[in-house]
Amino acid sequence: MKQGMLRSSRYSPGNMNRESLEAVFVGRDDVMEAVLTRIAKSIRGPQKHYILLVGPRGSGKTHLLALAYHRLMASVRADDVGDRVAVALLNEEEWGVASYLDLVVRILRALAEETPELNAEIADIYDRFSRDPVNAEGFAVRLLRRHAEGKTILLLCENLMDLFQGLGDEGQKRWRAAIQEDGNWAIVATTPQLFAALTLQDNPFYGFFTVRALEKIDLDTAIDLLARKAVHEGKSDLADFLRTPLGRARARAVHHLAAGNHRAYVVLFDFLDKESLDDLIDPFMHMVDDLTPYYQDRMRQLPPAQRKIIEFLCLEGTPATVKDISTHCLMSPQTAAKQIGELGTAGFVSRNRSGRNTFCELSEPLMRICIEVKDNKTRHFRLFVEFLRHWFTSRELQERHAAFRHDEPVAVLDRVHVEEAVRCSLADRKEPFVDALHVEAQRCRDAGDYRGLATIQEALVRDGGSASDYNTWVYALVRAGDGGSAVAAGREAAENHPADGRLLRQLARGYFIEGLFADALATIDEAIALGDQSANHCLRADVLLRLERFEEAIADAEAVLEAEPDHWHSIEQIIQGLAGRGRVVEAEARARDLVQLAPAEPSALVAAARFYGSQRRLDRALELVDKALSIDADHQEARRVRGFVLFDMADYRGAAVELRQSASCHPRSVRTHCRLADSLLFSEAFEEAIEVAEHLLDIDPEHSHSYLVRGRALMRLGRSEEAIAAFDQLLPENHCSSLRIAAGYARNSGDYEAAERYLNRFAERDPRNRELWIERCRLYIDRGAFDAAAESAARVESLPGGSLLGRLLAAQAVAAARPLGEALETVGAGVEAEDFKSDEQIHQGAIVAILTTSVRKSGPRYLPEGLLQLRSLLASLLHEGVLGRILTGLLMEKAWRFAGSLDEWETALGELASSLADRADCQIPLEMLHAAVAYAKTDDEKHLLRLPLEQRQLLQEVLPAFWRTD
Amino acid sequence: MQINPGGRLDTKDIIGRDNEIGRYWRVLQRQGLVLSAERRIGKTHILLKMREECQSGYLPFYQDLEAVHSIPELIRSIYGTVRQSLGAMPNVKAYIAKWSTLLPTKVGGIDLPTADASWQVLLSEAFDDLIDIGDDNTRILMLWDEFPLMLHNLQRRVGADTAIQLLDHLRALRLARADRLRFLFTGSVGLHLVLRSLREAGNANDPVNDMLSLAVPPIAHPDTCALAAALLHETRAAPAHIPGLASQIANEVGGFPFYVHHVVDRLDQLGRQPNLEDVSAAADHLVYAPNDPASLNYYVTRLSLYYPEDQRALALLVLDALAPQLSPTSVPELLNLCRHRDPSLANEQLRETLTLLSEDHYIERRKGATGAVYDFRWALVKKWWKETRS
Repeated sequence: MKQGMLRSSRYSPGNMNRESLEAVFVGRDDVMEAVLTRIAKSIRGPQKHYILLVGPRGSGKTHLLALAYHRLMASVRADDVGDRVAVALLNEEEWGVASYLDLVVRILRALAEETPELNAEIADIYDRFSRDPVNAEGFAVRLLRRHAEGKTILLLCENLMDLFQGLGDEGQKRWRAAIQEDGNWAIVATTPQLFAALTLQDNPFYGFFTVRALEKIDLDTAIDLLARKAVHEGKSDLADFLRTPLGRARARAVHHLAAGNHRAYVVLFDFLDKESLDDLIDPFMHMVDDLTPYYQDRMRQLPPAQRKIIEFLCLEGTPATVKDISTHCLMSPQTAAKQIGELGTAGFVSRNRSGRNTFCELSEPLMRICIEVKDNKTRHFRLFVEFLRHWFTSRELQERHAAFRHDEPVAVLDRVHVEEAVRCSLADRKEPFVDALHVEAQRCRDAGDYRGLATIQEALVRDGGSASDYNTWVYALVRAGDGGSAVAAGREAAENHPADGRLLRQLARGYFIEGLFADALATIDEAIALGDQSANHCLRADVLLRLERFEEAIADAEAVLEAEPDHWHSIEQIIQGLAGRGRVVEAEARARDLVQLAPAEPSALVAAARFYGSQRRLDRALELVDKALSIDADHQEARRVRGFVLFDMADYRGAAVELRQSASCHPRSVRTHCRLADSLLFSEAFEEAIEVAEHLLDIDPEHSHSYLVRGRALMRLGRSEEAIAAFDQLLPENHCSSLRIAAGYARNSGDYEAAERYLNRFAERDPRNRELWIERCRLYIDRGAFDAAAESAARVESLPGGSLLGRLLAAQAVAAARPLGEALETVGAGVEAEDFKSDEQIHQGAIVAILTTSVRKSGPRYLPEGLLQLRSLLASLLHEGVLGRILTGLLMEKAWRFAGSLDEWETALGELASSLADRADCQIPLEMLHAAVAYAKTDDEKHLLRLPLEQRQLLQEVLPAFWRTD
Repeated sequence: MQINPGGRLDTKDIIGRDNEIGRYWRVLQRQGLVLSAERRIGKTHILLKMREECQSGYLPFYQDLEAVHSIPELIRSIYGTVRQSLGAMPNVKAYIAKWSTLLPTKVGGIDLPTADASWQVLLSEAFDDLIDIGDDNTRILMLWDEFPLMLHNLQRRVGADTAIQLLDHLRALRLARADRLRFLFTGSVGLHLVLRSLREAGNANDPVNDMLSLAVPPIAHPDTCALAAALLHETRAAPAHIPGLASQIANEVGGFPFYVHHVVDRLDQLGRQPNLEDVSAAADHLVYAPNDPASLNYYVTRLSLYYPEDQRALALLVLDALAPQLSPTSVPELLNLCRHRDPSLANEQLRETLTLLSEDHYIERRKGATGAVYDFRWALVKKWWKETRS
């Protein structure tokens, strides 16, 4: 065997290299594992296994055996057990074995591949044979025994049936006797079918092998095979296409012909990227030319009666009963049954029982090739006609047919086949390709793959689909969250079927998720005019809620409730409407009513929980979802809402647990995965957050928040380049807040150019946004562009509500270059309490940033003076402990890591301790700052151990090194 | 313990044969032994275990004689086995040098008739050499697997006379060297069938009447359960379910270890935890699968092969009548059942047929409440027979 020479081979996979064999190995993992495990045990212990892989031609036996050989040899080398096994891989077709001596010589030759010195002794066998054949056999057997002494002889051979035929009865007995007497043989063999020498009790090898049948591969495995082959041949686009629902539908056509036979898929692979009829016919005819001798040779091996049956089944094309076969083949039912049984055993015919009848059909539809090429009665090739019908819809074929008439001249061959395909479609009304699309549509629906469903439905619609096809198409787009496409498809649907209320409702849903509420309302009103009131009013209520036309929403919901009193969603809409109107007490009353009305109805409890969640009554919301889950632990919506509530309660780990479970049940739910990704990010499970973000992008490639989560998690993992690459994906988007966050991360990682990119994009979208100028100011400060920072601060100051913040940012810019006191003068004479509290967190953060900037640039020397000035600025707020919180903020910013020696810090903190001695709120932060600085500069834990436990715990977040060694 | 239907087991993993092996050693103390049973019941593994765990005072040599078609081949095979087993021993090397000059069949491409003509001498010398290799206190123990098949081969290839002569010669050797030589023959084809055929060819002797003939029995129910349980541990079966599953397997296939391995192998291929229904389905597969995976049809076809036509008809009559019976059947009951199909059947004919079928392991005689009763030896065969023939 010329092993490892080829990357691809239809008929001799044994010649392929390991990489190629691995690349396209599918559907046989269990068998491979069973083979390798048993052989490994045979090599290591006294037990010996004899394994026989049984599968029809083209079922992947050679591939499996060749790959098993590669893996075995790798494992023999890795485990260093080469001295315990002698591996003999016989050629794929050992035609020349006619006696036991032949077999032994073949095995010795195979062993000589690894041990070339055996060759001289093998030559001696021939020499001896010319003098004394019996002696030659004894010599050969002894040579094999000597070579394999203390080792397991591992024989890998194919076509055992041929080998046994060559050995004959006597040779088989000799071989078995040798195996029994030597006790060191292990065998992995293949055969296309079981045969008498193995299955009848009076034969020496009866029951000798552990048989493993290589079953036909199913569609999914076939698609996996085709996709892997595509990747292996550099056709990644084709591989991607095959994994789409439309690609799967196309693969079904190939599956129909290949019928689970590995080799047939490989042969038919060439058609997969052909779109037009012109591209198909030539490769198909080439395939026919290639395969005809192969199948004709197989036919020749059959006895005449069996050939007759195969011929009948080839021409029949559909399953036939034994009675039909016997009648048409002019043989008795008993004879037919016997012959069919033998054909079944030989893998030519598949038998399926239905009631009292057994239906028979060809196991390999491609076998029809060998009959059809000889059938001169028809001008067309029926197999190709059938293929066309599985490849194209009848409409496509009819269009093609019409084109022939108007576009002469055309290839006669094309025309003949298309005409026949059209004729057959009209005659039997069957639509194999459309049927395949419907099967795929159902599969997408079951899997929640709404994008895939939309693709399939669009194909059905384009093929003259019905209103129902349109309806499902728009529905799928809505469920996939693609409002724009849903609207476009919905409009087209409404144009084609103007009187169909369902389509209008789907269009309205499209408008709704696209945020076009007015259009949604107008459309739903049109639908209401056409009927189906409850569903329309329900949607109308949803739209009205979004338009904040709460009273009308309530009216619509009430209308639905009148018709369907247990329509809990309507009650939820009413609650939302009431809450929206500020009638929270009434809303809560309805929520209470809902809980009382349906205390054992999880959906109702969850609806009420959503209300309490929206009101930030998170404990009550949690209580209700827990109750819902106690009634139905598998209630997925309850699980999801619980996750959302826990998220709002900042219990990110708990939220992740719930949402992880919910996501597993709804693998394509964008909302759930989105919140799960956030939960994981905030609970610092960064790797998993990245995985979920990537999955989200698989579901929805345009889900920009996923890039943000991915970028943030990568940044936290220190993989800043990858993070920036993820953030860059936000640039085409309009999400300014995401761009701002990305800019902040980029700035902190020192990639100012990336930060600039994000902020420039932000400015394009919303140039007057305060957040833009805040972040831009910070960026300029970090870059040392203080004038530009001051300008940005001035922009903030000029914006409504930005006066104080602008001044604080300006102070931060000054603090980067000048003493702290000078910087704080920029703020003005004093800070009004009202101003400060208007955006307290931001203002407090801005002051901490001023201090941090000063410390970063100048060390702590300006802190005592600056804090005194700050005390004066914040005089009106001191009683609220603001100064203490600012010092804590400084602590959390790890200010001691910045400039300044320990002495400087001790001096500065000592001065602060004196000047702020009267401020109780400042004492603890100052003590902690002192301990943290002392520890950071000396690495001496005693500074920390002087602090009370609770303060040490607070420091945990900023001094992780200490806790790692604790 | 590994699931290994048809493969070679580690002799340590052979379960449920200790009692038999103990008995065989006791028999061998006084006489030779003929063991018979159908293929795959584990005869070879019994021999291998006896060789591996040989009692002191014996020097065992295992040979599979299925491939032997002539007496020179047998002699060559004996020497080959000794060479392989003891070739490294210093006192054997001299013998090997001598043997290598024996039995040339061709010189310059011309056949030499001498070996065939003088085989008695050569065979006697071979055993003399073997006895010489051992010390005075050692008995040579020849473990001859598939001995009846060799006789069958000889009969077909060189004629019944040679086979008869060989049997007589071996008997003489056994009697002459009883202190130093023992034979243990096994065979899947019953030796009695080959002897009957030889008798019909003119041999009036009973050439193995110095040896004890025994059938290898099924392994006992508790041992079958233990074997099944040990194998089930290799599958995904929940540990708590294993005793129940093992018991079910033992009930379905009886004490036939090959079928136990087969059934567990099928359960292993399920890829999930097996249950009791799966056990029944796996056992049923042996009976009902269209390709007859257990080759149970062999029990019908071998009647044609080894029984005269009239005897075959009687055997089928008895087996067809016995298969549908829910419990073991007494001779009078069986006679009555058979007479419903063939009123002319004589009592003696039935008794002869029952004896023959018992010797051939189709049926076995058991003790009933009011006397002897008969039933199929294997539950699986009975089920198959009932489904396909009755």
